[in-house]
Amino acid sequence: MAGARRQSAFVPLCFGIAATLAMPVLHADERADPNARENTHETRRLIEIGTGYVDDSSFRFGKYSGLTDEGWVPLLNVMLESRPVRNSGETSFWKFEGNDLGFDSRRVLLQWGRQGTDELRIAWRESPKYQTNSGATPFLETAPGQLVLPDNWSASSDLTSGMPALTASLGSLEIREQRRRFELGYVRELAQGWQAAIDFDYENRDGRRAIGGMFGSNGGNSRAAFLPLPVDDTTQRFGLKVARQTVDYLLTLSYEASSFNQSQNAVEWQNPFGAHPQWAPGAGFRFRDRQRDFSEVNHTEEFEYVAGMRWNRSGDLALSVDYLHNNRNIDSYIGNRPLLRTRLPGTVDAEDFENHPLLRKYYLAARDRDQVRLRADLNVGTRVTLGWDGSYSRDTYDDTIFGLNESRVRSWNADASWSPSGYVHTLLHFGVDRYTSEQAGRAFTVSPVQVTDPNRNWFYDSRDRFESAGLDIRFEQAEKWLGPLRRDGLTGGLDFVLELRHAHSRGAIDVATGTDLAVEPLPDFFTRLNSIGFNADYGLDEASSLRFGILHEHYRSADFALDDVAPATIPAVLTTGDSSPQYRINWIVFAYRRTF
Amino acid sequence: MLTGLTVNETCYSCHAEKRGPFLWEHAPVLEDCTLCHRPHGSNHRDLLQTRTPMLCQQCHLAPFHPSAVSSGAGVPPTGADRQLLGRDCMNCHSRIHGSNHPSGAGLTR
Repeated sequence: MAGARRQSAFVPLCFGIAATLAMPVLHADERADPNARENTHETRRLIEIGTGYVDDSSFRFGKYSGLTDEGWVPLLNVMLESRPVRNSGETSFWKFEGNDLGFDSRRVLLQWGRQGTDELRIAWRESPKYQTNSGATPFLETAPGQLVLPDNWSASSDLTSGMPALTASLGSLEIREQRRRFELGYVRELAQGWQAAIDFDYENRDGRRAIGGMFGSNGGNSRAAFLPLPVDDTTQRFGLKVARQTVDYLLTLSYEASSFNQSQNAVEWQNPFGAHPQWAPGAGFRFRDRQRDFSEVNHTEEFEYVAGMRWNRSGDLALSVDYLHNNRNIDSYIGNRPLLRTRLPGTVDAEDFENHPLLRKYYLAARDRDQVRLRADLNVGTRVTLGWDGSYSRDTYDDTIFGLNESRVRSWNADASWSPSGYVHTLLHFGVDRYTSEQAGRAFTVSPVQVTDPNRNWFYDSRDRFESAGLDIRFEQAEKWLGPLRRDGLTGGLDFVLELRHAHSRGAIDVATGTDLAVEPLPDFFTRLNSIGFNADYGLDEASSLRFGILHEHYRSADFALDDVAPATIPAVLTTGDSSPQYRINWIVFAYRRTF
Repeated sequence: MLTGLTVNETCYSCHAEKRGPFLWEHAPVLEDCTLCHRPHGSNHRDLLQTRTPMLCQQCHLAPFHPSAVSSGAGVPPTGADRQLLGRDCMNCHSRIHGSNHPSGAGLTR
């Protein structure tokens, strides 16, 4: 796999290098009449070439960058730009940019246009999503979309415990996807305040995704197995837009069209379970007539009121306060309306129901929402800035007995920056977000007694808490005060940045019930990331510099849905046995940067 | 500021397979992706608003397993509740955004 990824990186790498070499061609017109263009345009050209090293393998660390494997990776960034000089009378510009061309996540962008008139944009982006490589599955893919079990597979029961060949059959499983996206867009100013835009996107996605494949026909006899689903789809999107913008309003008329195609139209897989007594011979089949237009609520109305105030004292202190109240009214909630309207007359009684009659679906229920936001910014002299913002949001569902009763979001963030001199800048930030919700329900079967028994009520109290903190210290022209370095002959400019990061999330769910139900506390789940990074730029001369960077990152997580769940732990579901990601990674990068 | 005219249109620009149309639709999917997802970050898989099955049970409270209470009794080593472990409800209802299978009314295939 790693070899294949490096091979796929080869094309954009070559593209970037070729573009850099082509710079003299792009500027052929300058050579022909250098003075004419130099007077009207300024050009910037930058290339950064180097390499990076990851000292351990981790899918979680490289989830979106592709840096999943231990080893060296090439690094290439390119930027070429020509812009008109101010007051020159010229408007044309162009730009070529290539970022992270040695990574699985890379981007190439080409822009051309005339300021205030039109702009053409062409882009190519690739981005991976590495989900896991620590899972296992007994399924073998003999052909695209054909998942079979080993020849010696047998099942003595309809549970995972009845799979004697499971352990010996497990093969490693890698779940990852790669997106490749081409974008083409053109914008033109038609007249003062009028703008037209046309754009086209093409995206291909391939790889594997884990999904559950179910057998059986109802909740009582269903069995499921995690399947490595092959993904190979393309999306094409076309958009045409005309907009009229004035100081007072923005009016947009747009046409959007998109097509989605997946080459993998079907997946066939063998059933790893033994037959369930309730399974009909062959395959389970159920048909339910449901018209999606019919809902528990026919009509809802939402009224929203917003008020805000801004206060600014001579640029030093700025305060803002915003309040929002949203009220959602419904005409009437009839919980069994979808059931009654989707059955043949005579097959259901007016009192029949699917969901409990006291349930109110939260997105259809009457709701009051109140939000308050505060923001304060303070400048202390020219070197210190302080900022604080806090928000509180509360949704209440007063008519709801079962379902979501209340949810709250509370968050606050503080940031401070300090520049003791023109060469040293520090930034500190800290934030906390808390999400809480309360919901209620009743466990019941078809017994009329259970339907009305309050001793079978249950209550979930969910709490999610997030903390994030960071400290950046940036030293510019450090050579001016690092005397010993100068004496050792380092005469160029030296800038370096120190970055500290901390992020922590913790989730907890309290479960309470009536006397007829027995429950145990749920374990908490968490993620924790700590990192320290150091980047240094040493200017060799006015046009070139060396860059060195090192990042140490430590990630831990725990989730009861994954941890200690082996492939056969759940009797009726064959899982991949994946576990919560953990890693401790060092990432080192060396690069040479030159501007022209 | 959204790049699309609506929340869902913005989401579909990268997740076109969720757009449909589907033979069997999941009503809130059509209405607003943020009913179930927190697009800016979450500590639950797939950027969900809250842990499943709790999220599902805010709208589904039918007899038997949809209304059953989930707790630590279903977590190893005490137990192995299939609605709580792995991909929980989506162990079986894997086509939760919609299905085009003739027998996909339960969004299981």
